[in-house]
Amino acid sequence: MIRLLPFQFKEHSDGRILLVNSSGDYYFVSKDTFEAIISHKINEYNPDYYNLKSRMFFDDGTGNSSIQMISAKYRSRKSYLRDFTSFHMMVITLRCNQKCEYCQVSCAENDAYKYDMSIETAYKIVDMIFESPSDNVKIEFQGGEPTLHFGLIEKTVLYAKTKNNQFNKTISFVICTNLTAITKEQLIFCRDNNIYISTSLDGPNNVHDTNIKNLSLARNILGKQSVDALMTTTSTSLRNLHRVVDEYIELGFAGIFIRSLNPYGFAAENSAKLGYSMDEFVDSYIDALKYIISINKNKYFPEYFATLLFSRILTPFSTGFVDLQSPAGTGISGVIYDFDGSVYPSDEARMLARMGDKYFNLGNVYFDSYKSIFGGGKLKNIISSSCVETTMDCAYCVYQSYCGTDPIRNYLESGMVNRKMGNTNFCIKHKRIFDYLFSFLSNMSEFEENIIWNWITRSNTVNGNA
Amino acid sequence: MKDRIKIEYKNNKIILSKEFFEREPVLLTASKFTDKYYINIQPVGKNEFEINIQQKFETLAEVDILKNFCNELIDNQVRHDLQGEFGKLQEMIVEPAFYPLEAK
Repeated sequence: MIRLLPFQFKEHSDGRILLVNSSGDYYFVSKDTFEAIISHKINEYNPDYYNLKSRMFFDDGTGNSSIQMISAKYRSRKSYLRDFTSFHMMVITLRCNQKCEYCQVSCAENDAYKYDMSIETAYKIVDMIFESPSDNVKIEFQGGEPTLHFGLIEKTVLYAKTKNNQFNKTISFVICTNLTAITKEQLIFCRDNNIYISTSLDGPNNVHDTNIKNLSLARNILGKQSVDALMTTTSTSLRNLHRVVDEYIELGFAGIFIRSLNPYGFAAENSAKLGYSMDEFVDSYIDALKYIISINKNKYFPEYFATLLFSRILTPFSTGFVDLQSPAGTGISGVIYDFDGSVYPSDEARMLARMGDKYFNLGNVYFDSYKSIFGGGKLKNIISSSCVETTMDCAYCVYQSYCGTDPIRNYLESGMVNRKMGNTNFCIKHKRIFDYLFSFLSNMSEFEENIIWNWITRSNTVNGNA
Repeated sequence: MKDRIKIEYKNNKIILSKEFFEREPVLLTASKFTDKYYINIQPVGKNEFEINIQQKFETLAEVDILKNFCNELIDNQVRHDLQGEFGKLQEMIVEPAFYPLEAK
């Protein structure tokens, strides 16, 4: 007599039943086989019996070795949590020399110096960062446009490196910049101190053109691998994703991450003009993904979001991604420090504060200790409300093992950190993308399978050649 | 044999046997539709629930809402039954997964 081990299920679009268990293993069965499983009538004469047993959807009920194996895989999946907060964002200025419509930051005017972070505040933030138990720390400078306050970046980087002599952590730095104001001297400093550049190519034409020019300069000085771009999909780019992909390839980027708009800042104010429904986004995303996969028949070029999700589906390995994990990564994987030393669990929480709601303010580096901010009741409440296993609609979702939640976004849209997720844009987006990816996985050719594994393992082989 | 589910299309009503459907799956199913429909759940005698479904907005017309509700309910009842069967197994999986590492 079999003992069923915990799993979720759903009828797939092709009529088969998709099963996914707690360790993230999945399997498709016919309705007859599903009926046999839940009524404990499945036996070794069923062609799926041994596949299901080896993937630990059931065992023979003796001992706990299956439970221990599932637990070990579950532990692997969640191992990113052990590092605690390793991603620290510093908003060093709210000044910006641009006003991109889709900006979720709602930057201040170029002369608004009162929003510049002081050196004292920056040093206090670095002191707090080093109280984190993480062995690997990434410090990201954001704005506004952070290169407008480059002097602070220089001092902060050198201070952090000096401080690290006693801590010996692996520390990395990133500047998120539109590249329009960056100078050669600043790029040389970045090169000499191993600072990465993250930029955006989605701005209006005049911004975009300066971007491209300085992108070249940045690559010449820092090297191609140290400069990357993040795209934000507006309604214009949504209709032209193939061209966006082509441009990224032409500009020599290694891959692309197709992101939907977030409902904050200027993007929220301009949503009528910029916006699209989540169904429209997913339709275009899937179309772009098919296009990218076809490109990969001749050239290695991953779509990073799909890569992350494929990795979660096909491997038991840890894939921390702050925007889609359970418990949510907000505060415990990444945190953000505002120009005045205020601490927020995410950039979106900081943006809410800019919009007048300081509900998610965790404290301030001047007045509060590391323990009260990162171990305090506020963050604990947010995180305990952000586990899919205890979220309505998510608790029984077949994609639970691969998905996550966003308590800040929940609060923005409904006033509640933990809400019914079923018909939210967040759920629509991820559910539909998972539906598509599972259809792809069950129908893919061997060649397409190789492409996906190339993405997951980051091995740049095409047609079997490196 | 008693009907497990009876659909009255004219009245937008579903009648369920309590022998086959429990409170939690019924509520869980109803909650999935409350954004677009008004759902009313009433006991009928000792052995049945009656569920009345009214669409909220005139422009909305989901074809086969009653049948979709029933399908969703059946799935949720199966999930509920499976959860009962899994019992403490989920805790036996999750709890050790978060045991601390040994000290360095």
